[in-house]
Amino acid sequence: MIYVVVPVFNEEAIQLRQNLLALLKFHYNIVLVNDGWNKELKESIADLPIHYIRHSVNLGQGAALQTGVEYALLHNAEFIVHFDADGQHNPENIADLIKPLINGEAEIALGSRFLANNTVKEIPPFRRFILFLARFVNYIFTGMLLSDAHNGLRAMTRKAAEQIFLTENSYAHATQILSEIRKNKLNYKEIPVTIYYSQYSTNKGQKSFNMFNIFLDLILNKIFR
Amino acid sequence: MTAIQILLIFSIVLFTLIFFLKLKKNNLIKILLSLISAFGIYFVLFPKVTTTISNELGVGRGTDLLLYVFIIGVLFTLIAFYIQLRKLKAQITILIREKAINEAVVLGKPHN
Repeated sequence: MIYVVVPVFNEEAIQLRQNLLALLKFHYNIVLVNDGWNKELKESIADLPIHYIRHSVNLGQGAALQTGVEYALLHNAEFIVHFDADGQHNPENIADLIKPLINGEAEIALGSRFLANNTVKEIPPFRRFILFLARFVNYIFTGMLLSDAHNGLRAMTRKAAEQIFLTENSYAHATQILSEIRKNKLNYKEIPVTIYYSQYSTNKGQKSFNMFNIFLDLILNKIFR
Repeated sequence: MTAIQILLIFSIVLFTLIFFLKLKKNNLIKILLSLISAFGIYFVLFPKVTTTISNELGVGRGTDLLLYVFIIGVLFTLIAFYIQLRKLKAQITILIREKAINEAVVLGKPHN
């Protein structure tokens, strides 16, 4: 049983619906975590066969993912996928991420846009530069040098999900996942995935200056763990 | 006694009393608070003492020494508050998560 956790905050209703429908084609169990966003969201997707969870207040993407994962674990999920709601990920890639988990090659599969040749050209240059810097920031904080520092598309086995506990509620969770992988000595594999840089997902996605917030969060969390 | 001395002593006594009423059990803090207040009143009554201590420590004036001590105190208090804030955030996260999972629903059951 594959559970796909989709954290949602501040999305365009029609766009979100399309993205969920695209996911549903693959017959995954979808866990939508409304991270303290508006209550009307539930009505607008009431006809879609998905699990719906709502945080009473906004906690952050990391917290939403952790909630979704815990819910999936309670429902006997064998594989759990993190999937962004803004349509930048391709649902077809989920199968690619799950494959090494089924084969036993890895316990966690991390999506990388830099391993997919067709995507690299589409990455805006400044974004590429920031992601390049972020790789080394991650390396300093976690000791893991990956090709893609902040890719929200990941898949993990039940065992890995039970060991990774995200306490970083903010976007800094992406780095925390890496340190958890290292701490728990999980086998990981990077898998090429496509990222769509649509107008919508670029506007919705993280602003580049947000990296300063993430950096500050990482330092504070290192000091006050 | 000058007017400022009366005002300061009055304030110190008032704040100490308020804290004493709020802190019902914590005796260690009560003792510490009493000591600090006693020193405060002492320094207000004999301001020259702070200058003597400052000179011993290599600081010019008594008020300068007080400022430095004050800044360090504020910084420590800030860090203590920040640690509490983080703890509180973590607790709230757990609460909201538990509530959210308990109230989870499966949508789209019967199709019309």
